[in-house]
Amino acid sequence: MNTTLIAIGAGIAVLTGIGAGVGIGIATSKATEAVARQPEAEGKITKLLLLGSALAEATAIYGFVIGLLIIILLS
Amino acid sequence: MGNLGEALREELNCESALTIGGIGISESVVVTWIIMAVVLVLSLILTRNLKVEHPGKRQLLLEQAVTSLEGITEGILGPEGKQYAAYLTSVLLYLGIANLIGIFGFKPPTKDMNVTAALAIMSIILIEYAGIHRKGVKRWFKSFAEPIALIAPINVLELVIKPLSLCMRLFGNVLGAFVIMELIEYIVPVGVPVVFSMYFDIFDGLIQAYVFVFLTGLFMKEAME
Amino acid sequence: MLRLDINLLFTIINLLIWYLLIKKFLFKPVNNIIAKREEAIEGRYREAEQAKLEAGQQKEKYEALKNGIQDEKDQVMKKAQEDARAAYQQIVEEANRKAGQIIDDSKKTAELEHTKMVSRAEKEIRSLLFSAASEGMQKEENNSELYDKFLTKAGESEHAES
Repeated sequence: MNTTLIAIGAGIAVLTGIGAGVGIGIATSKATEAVARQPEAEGKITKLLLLGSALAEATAIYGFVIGLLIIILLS
Repeated sequence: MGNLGEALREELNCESALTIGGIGISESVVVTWIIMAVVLVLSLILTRNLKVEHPGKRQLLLEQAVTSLEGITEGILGPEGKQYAAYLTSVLLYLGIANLIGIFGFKPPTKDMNVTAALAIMSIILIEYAGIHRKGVKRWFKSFAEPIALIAPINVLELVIKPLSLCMRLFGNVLGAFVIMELIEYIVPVGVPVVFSMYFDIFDGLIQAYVFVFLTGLFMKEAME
Repeated sequence: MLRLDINLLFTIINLLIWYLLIKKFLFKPVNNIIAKREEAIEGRYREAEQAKLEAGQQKEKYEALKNGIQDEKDQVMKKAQEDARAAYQQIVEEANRKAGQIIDDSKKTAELEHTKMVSRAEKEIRSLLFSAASEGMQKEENNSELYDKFLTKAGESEHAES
């Protein structure tokens, strides 16, 4: 019972990945559009995309850390 | 499956590598010492006989590396924050090496929350120092009540949130990459981990090092405005 | 993994030492050498500029010198021409003068000769007259014959004289 609840909690925490996924998807689609419109700015756009993805990914990472904390601290 | 969990927990624990006078010195600190020693020796060797005229290939490479590293941080900080560029460059170099050191079989120091917390604390101190140095104490205090006095508590809270976010982002990324790599290595020990290591160790490690420095620089620039 | 302890302090100290070490042993020498190189390049540019300027000055000087030489040459040529002309004039004048003198001299000699000749002719004529007179005194007749003889003799003597 206890471990089941812990597992459910960790699973919910990892749902933060949804936000990161959507965010990175939007960022990538916009970056693709931007490159299509201005192919000469590809280097700059790629840099910004990587940076934005890394920042958006942070939310997923927070979820992961919380999930890990739940598992390690509660079990 | 229980076996895997046990192995994972074992890997995730940061053991005290050695104890001096009852104080446990963790593995991350020791690895940091190793990094410091190696880089110190390397830089001493590389900068031994630099020539003004006709530099060798080694010197050109070194100069290129140093100037491009400094170019990154100076580009982030802009002209008014040039004095802090050296610190950010050294942090960038340290994080880059620390995140990549997993390739050589060491546990990355950034996997230990002590290291990321220390980096984040130094970052927030530097950010606020830059703000105070630029604006003066009075204007720095006033800047908490901007744009309106109502959000002053949130601004004060940001003093904690900023370093916490920096710390957790770096720690979580490295830890996540480490866990995934451990899992992959547990399942397929040969061949496949190399491919994934390319992404999780090299690419992600460097990106996170850059993001950490970038965000610190961004916050500093914001504080100096 | 998730505990914060004394190692946090160690890490901060480590990072500060790391920063100082990196700054002193990696960034400083490399940046120094780059600054030195830039300075050297700057210096070389300045030197090149200086050399260019000096070369320009030298060229101007040389140009001026060349012009001076040309002027001098012209002057010398002119002077030589003038000298030559003067000498020529002098020589011609001298020649003229000498020629005139010679002509005068020859005129004088000719005159002298003439007078001499005339005086001799007079003398001759006188002697002829004298002889004729003396002859005439001897033979009073055929006077015309006498005149003829006289005239022939005088003409002969005249011819012989000249």
